[in-house]
Amino acid sequence: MKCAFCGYTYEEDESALVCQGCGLFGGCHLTKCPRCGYEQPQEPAVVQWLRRWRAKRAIDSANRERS
Amino acid sequence: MSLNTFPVERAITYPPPIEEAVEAIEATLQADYTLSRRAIALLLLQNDEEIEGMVRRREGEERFALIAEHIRRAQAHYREPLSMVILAHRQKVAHALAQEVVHYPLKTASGFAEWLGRICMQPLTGIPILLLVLYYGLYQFVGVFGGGTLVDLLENKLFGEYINPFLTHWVKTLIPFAPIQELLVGEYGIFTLGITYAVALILPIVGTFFLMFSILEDSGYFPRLAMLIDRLFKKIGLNGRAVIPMVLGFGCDTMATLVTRILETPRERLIATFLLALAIPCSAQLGVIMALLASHPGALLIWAVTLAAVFLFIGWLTAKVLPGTPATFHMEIPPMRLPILSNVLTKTYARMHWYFREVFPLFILASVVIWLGQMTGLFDLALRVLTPVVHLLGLPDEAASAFLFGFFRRDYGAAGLYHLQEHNVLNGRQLLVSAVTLTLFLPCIAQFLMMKKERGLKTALAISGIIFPFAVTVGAIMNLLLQVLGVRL
Repeated sequence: MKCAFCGYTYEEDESALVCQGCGLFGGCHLTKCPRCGYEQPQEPAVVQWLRRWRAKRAIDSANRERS
Repeated sequence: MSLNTFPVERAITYPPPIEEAVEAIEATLQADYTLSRRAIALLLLQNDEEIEGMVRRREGEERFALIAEHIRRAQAHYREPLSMVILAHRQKVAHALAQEVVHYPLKTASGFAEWLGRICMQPLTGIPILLLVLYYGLYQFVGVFGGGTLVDLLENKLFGEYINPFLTHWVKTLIPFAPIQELLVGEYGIFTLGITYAVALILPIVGTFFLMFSILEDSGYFPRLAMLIDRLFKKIGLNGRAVIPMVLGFGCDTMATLVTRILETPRERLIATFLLALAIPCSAQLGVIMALLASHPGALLIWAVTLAAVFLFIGWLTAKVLPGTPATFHMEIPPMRLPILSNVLTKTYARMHWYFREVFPLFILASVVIWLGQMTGLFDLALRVLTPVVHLLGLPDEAASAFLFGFFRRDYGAAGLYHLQEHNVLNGRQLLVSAVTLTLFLPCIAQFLMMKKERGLKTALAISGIIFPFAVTVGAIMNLLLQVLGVRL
């Protein structure tokens, strides 16, 4: 993920480390930048699915063209 | 030179006063450490609390006093804190290294984006840009379009003419018990109040707000706002870093209270928590107030000026009362860019989803609590208790219910005011007074619980104990002033 405030790129598990000790236990569905602390929403499941589906389609069509 | 052969310990040679202090501290350290003595010395110069505690324990007070003296002598050479001097020097070295090994074919950031990014940070140009963003982004887009056009379409047309009459008819036909009818489709019913407020009133307002928020966020405007506001925030005991919780507070104050953890000192965290609870309206409340006052631009201007004045005055006062100096602020600024549509839509959707999930059950719960209150007579009793307060603010009896809603959540109370305005119960002055008073209230119960968790019960109670009388006092003074001066809005 890329922080929308400071531009730092981080993994979700890095964000989880910063959130340790928070009483919401991830219930906020936000990710926190380990560098500046800015919070942004996690990508919704439907968007993740759409992204994966588009990537898979692009790979399939590239494979078809190659063959 | 390969990385393995690079002389890591002496990769950076700092200016003489720092190097001298490092050497002196290295010579003073006697205990064993996992880190090199040079690293310990540099961390001590940077005021690292954890290392300070460890060194104090292992070296004893006498040797630690000697170390503190070396640090003080080094600091005497600079106006900025040593942490900043060290960081700036490291950045200079890193930049020089990068210049040697990295070659850019062409400048990647466009000249216009760079220029725009620069003028957003300079006070002379940055403040007018901020005012333009607030006027077009907040007032025109969220207030007039979201709170006016979209709410009218959803609340008055869709819910007012189709959904609610249809539901009321079927509930009254199918359920013969008056109390249950009242719970579902009564004046404060789950469908007619809770769901209507959440879907037809709050959702379009929050949606337009989050869309604008995501556009600004994706463009890289916020870090520039932090730089622009840094100097002003220093006057109230904070620094540019506090822009992060403040900006997030315009989304949700409860989450923003949690984010105050990123501030360096307990003093800053306390000031930021207090200001968030007092003077930063959350997204839904801000949107409803924009919509409420959109037809009275003068009232909206007075509301904004009052809130800004309260924010700055209370911040300044708190900073005076609490001893200490604001921490320094420095950050790398990411490039400014044209927002990417897919990013903006994803973030808007994610935020609306998150907000709706939080607000929807609470709005329904509030309807149920009010219904229980009506059944037991407690609701009427609470309204009677609130009536003198409402009169003190120069408001009619009907406004008491909006204020009672405001105790649940500020946005719920603001939605109640919106409802009153639609029925022409309040004039411009009354709208302004009630909007100011309600904005200064504590946002919601969740915010109180978060303050208790982050700052402790005593502080949370003290903040709440100050906020409620303060909000009513400001409202009463404003009402009096507007009446004495004969201001018509």
